[in-house]
Amino acid sequence: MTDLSIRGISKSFDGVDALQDVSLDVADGEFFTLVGPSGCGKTTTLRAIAGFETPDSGSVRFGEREMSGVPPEDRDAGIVFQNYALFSHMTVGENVAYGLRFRETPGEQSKDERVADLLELVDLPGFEERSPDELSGGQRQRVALARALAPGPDVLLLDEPMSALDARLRQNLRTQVKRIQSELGITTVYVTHDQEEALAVSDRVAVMNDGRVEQVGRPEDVYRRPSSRFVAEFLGENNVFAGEVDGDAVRVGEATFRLAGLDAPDGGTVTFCVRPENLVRGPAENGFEATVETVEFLGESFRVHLDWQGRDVTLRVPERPDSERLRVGFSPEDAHVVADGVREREVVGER
Amino acid sequence: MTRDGETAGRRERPDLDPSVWLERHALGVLGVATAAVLLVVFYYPVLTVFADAVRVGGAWTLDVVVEVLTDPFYFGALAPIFAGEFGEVGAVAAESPLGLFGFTAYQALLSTIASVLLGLPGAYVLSRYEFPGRRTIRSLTILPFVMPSIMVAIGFVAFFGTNGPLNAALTALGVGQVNLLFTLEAIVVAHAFYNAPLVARVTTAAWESVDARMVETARSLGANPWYAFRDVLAPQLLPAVLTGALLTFVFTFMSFPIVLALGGFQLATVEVWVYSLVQELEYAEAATLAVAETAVSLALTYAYLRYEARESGGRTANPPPRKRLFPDSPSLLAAVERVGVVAYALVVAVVFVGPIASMVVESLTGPSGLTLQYYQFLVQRQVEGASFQTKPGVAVRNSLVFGAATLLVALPMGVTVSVLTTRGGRGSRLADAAAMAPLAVSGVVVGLGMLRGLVFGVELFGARLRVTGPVAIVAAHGVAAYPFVVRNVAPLLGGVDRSVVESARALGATRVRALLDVELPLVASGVAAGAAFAFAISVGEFDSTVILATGSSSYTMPVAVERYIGNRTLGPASAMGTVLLVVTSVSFVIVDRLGGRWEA
Repeated sequence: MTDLSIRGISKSFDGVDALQDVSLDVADGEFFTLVGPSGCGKTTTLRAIAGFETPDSGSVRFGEREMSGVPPEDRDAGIVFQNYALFSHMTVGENVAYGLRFRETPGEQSKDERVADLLELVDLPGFEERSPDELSGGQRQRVALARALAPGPDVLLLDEPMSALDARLRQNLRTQVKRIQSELGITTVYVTHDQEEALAVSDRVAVMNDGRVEQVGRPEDVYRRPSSRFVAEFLGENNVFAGEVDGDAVRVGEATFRLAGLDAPDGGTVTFCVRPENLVRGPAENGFEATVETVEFLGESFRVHLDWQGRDVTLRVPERPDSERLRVGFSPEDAHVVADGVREREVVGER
Repeated sequence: MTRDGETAGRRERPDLDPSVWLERHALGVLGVATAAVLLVVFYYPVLTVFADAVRVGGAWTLDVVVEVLTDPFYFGALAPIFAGEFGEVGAVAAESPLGLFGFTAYQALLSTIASVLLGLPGAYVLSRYEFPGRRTIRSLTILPFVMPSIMVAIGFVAFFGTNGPLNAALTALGVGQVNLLFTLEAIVVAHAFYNAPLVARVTTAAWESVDARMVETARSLGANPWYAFRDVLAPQLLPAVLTGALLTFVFTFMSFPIVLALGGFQLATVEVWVYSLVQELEYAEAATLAVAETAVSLALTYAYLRYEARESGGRTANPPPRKRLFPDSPSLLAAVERVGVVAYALVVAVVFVGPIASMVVESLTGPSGLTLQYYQFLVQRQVEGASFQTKPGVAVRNSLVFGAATLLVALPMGVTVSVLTTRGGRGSRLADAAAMAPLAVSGVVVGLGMLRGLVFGVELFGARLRVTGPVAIVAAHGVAAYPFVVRNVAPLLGGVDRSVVESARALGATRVRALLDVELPLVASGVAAGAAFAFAISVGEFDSTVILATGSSSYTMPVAVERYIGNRTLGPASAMGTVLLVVTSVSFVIVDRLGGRWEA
């Protein structure tokens, strides 16, 4: 059993706060993703778990083991970096076997058997004698994964492992990584700036911004019920509106929208969002008319950018719009109120 | 495959186990050891010499310092400014405007300009042309830099002397003779001999790593080739040229044997004057001069290190294709350029090949024509010489043994300093400069400090601690050589992807294991180049070896050359010099072959 617990870690570099009071719990065997824009602190968090950065305060635990003061080589955390970081002067086999110099081979296997097993696991059987230079990007990254897994680490850390690969390869590899992860049941922390990837593979995600955790939860919960405007806009596309509360409705410009379960004092300001796929054409309850600006064909649908009273509104529709002006609307249940500017930590869908 | 995290043996490592402790703290231990060696062999001896500046006859005093600083002989027009007598500036400037320091800086500046002018065309040819032997010539450019100065001096005297081949050729052409010896020109040319290859090397490296796409972009935006060169290429090369120029200035500012041999005392630099004051036992004045000299060269070294740190960013090398020496369809411009290349090759032949070749010729030429008598003399001395006499075989053996031993000292020290300063924070550049100090301190001072601090010994707890003979020489060579290991290794080490090292750490390697298993193999070419430099510096080192080998049998080849210099003939010395040349070249080919295995 190796669960991972991060308690209140903070870190600053040259007076700039990189992490501020970050706490996270990752369950045993969970695929946990840190997602956020560059500079949000996700990589620093990962490096603190691996032992490459020492937090100014707070603690990191692997199961019962307190990690402060433990050097990286004694943490039993396998890590895979974006740029593969293969040892270019060693063969593929030597790369995978490197960690076995320092730790006993798991199970009753010999080193060679272990290496062969791992290469099989990542679909590169018989690649032992190859040089890393001969491999494609995707193959290199799989070797890096096999190398990280060979000593049987307690925790697997993945630092943007797919970013250097092209889109199709990225999708194949992430499916493969996910399969291997659940086969081994290894506790995994995955760092990415790609929100689509985060939503696709994770058991839970933590959205980070500006050195803090904005929201933690299952991908669908965080997607559907973002706690802040930042999360609402970072994960997927969103239409964000701000207006003044009037009973169970919100006045935005000249329009008035009814929101389900709105609980805010009259006259106060509220921010809410509606996903593009929840905006529908034709007369609807909360309807408004907007001008078509641009249309993009995405394959399975069209993305339409609308201008409504100077605001950008995005819409997803199955057919190319046939007129310059469109009438769209949304049902009160599809609007979701978010915190705007003020940071409120909320945990949705805690396991 | 099943979950195997739990079955994985987590080896418990008791921190009390001494071998585990040592591996964990290996870098720290090596760092302390390096600092200790530097302290004993370099800082302590040098500081005892420097202390003489302010300590005369057992009492602290600033008199000598003030005296030197305000003496127009040393500081020229600056002296009255130091003295606060601003009215005197005009009068002093009229009489001796430069002073000794000014002259030293002036000849260093001229030497630097000459080295850059001579080096840049070489860099152009080496980086832009493809021709047979290009790589070999490129590796040979290291040779002048590591040649013992005593040998270069002999070569210059033989080549440029009144009866030398240059004047013979000029007379035959009816141009008349030139007398270069004991002129500023001779010193400048000799300095260019040493440093132009250095400028060429660093600039070639930069030229080979430029991105051709940037030039292509400039051309597509409407720049003609000249503008593209001036606006896009030159800024990329400038840092390398400045690096070479700065190092050249530092080296020529402190140059000693060349100036002494080719200029004599009438063209003395600060370093020569320090030497002569030491000979006259004027320690306080010598020390003051040496401190002032060191301050200048240390400041320049620090500037260089800052510069290097700024420039060592990752670049994508994508150089344009090389030109062929003989194009298929020659245009006028191409023809003119090739003529320039040929002219440059002639200059190279005169400056570089001439002196070395004439030394070899000199060793084979007696009063009555071709002879082997000087080599016979060497053999005879080896076979029949008395134990107090200098035997060539002993000198060769000593040079090789000391050279190998120097590697054992300089490589660990250099790698340790590289690792500790590469990934450090702000303080590391100061530490870097402190570690580079052996490059910047006068060789005469180091030699004198070693003589007094190590050979004569230090009184410590009632016991006299002495370091003498081979140990002292190897330590001195190691200290002189390791900065070159650092300069070769550190930039490459800084370029190693951090995540490669971190991958090794996460897999269970300690910091020093990761260094040995991953980083060093990746920077092997730098280590090999550093080793070549270190070996060559040990073989060629003269200044402190001649002091430390006094009256012992620990003399090396350059010392033997010096001891064979006779009153009337350069024969035995040039024969010994030729032996030195052959031994050095052969070692270089071997070191290069061994090192070349790792080159990409």
